[in-house]
Amino acid sequence: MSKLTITKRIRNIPIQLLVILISFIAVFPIYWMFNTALTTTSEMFLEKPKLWPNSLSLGGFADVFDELEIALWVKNTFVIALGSTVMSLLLAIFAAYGLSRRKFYGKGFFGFILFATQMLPEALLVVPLYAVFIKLSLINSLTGLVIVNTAFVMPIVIWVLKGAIDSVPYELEQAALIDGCSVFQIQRLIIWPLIAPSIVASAVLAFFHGWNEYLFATTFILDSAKRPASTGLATVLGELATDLEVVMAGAILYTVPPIIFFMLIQKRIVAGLASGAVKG
Amino acid sequence: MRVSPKLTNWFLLGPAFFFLAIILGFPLLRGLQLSFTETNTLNPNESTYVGLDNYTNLFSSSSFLPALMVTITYASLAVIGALIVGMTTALIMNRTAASKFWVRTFVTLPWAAPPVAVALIFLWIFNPQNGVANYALRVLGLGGNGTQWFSNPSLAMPALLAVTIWMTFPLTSLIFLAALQSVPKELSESAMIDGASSRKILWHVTFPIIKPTIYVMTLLLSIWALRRFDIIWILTEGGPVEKTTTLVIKLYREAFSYSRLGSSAAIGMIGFVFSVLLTFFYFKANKKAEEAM
Repeated sequence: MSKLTITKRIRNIPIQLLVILISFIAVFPIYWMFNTALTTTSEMFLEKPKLWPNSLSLGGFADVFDELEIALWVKNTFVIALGSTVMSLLLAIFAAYGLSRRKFYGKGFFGFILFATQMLPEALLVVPLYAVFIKLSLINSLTGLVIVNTAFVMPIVIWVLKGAIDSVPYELEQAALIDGCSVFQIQRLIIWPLIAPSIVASAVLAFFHGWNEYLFATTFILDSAKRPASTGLATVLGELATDLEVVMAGAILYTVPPIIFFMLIQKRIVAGLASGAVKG
Repeated sequence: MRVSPKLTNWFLLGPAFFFLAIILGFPLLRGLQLSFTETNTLNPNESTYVGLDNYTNLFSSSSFLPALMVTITYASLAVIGALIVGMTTALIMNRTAASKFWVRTFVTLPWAAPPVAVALIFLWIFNPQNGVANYALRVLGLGGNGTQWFSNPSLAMPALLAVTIWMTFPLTSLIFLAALQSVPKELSESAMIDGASSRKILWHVTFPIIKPTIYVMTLLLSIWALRRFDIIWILTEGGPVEKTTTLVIKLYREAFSYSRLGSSAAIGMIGFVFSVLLTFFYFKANKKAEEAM
């Protein structure tokens, strides 16, 4: 080993330490969620916390399905997330095309509205929307939450997709127009295949918006059986009747699906978002 | 049959537009209207018009300006924190290929975790008696004997900020990493040959190129911080002594704890106008910066 590489290695030590520190900080709370779920109540309140789950008991997982409606809550969460993803993509994909390619009066204004929606404090809309939803009998229903989540996430989806469509060369479309393609054929045959990565990225954004949403779920859902996991778990914590390891086991069942999903696709999403965000 | 261009535009944009108008636009106008009335949340159909009273009352009340200050403090520190930690992480990932895969994977975890689950786990980590944070402080000899976090007026905000930054730095760093990787290698290499230090290269070559990304992230992080409700509500409910009561928390409390819908709507409108102005100035500054380049 030459002298140069040795000094380089020594100079890299602080950076390696920083890498370890950042990774530790990122991972530890998630690890701690698992560790807590796998302890028993008596172990939890010791002077010195158990850093490893030493007994191979199931901990909170043994009781979580009996004590909490967690399977139902996660299912509701999934329905809400999937519903708002499909709905926002359906609405956004055409709007994004229109915003990117067509000329019309009020285009700038529409773009501004899309951006302004992202600044609305949701809590401001809770009561007025509640009044509307009662008339449409959408209170206490998952459909209602799908609609609300769609409204909040669709503008972002439009924005990301518009950025992607902007980067598709217009000449491609002109050629197709001359060949007699309709606007909808052009989208289906030319645009959608080319912007597929951004469609995936924005679908994931929409999905996780629905998966995570808390405020409207906590105000619009009254039945415990219709709660998504976000409000279900928060309510359980407030009632203080359930053992902590059971709550943590529930939290893990709610957290693990998105984590696995994200790990599989994060590289694509970041590429899709980065191209959209910077151009937008 | 050919459809007229105008009709096509309506087909393309109409559904999205009407959807937003009904679900967001109408309630927003109703909120504006409510802000000029005195209305009980439990009975929103009966309201009395009071003009600007809600607004003037807010500015003369002793709790509104503090909430505004809390909001500004929380948002600015959350943004700065996420930018610094996110950029540091991105620079490291960009530099050492060996650690990149693992750091990337680890850093994805906080990003993917749902905020409610994050709030639950941090409540337990910062538990005064049995939390692991206090245990770590005791082991290191830095106190931690029953230290209250979320219910201590001077520690609640720092603890809340720590949780917030933990949640937001991963996406920030992954977006920054994507931007850093788009910087042409030849630029920094030629600067290095010219004898520039790596710090100089960072300031004078890398940062100017990725400036648009830094700008966009700053705006996004600010908007998220100004709107954040879930983790603040679960971790502190705005307490102790309103030290973490942001405008959004105050608006929620006015409507649902005190049933003062009119005053709550007024807070919401002020917050909304505040964010829109912020974005407006951001775009102006951004344009100026681009012209100057």
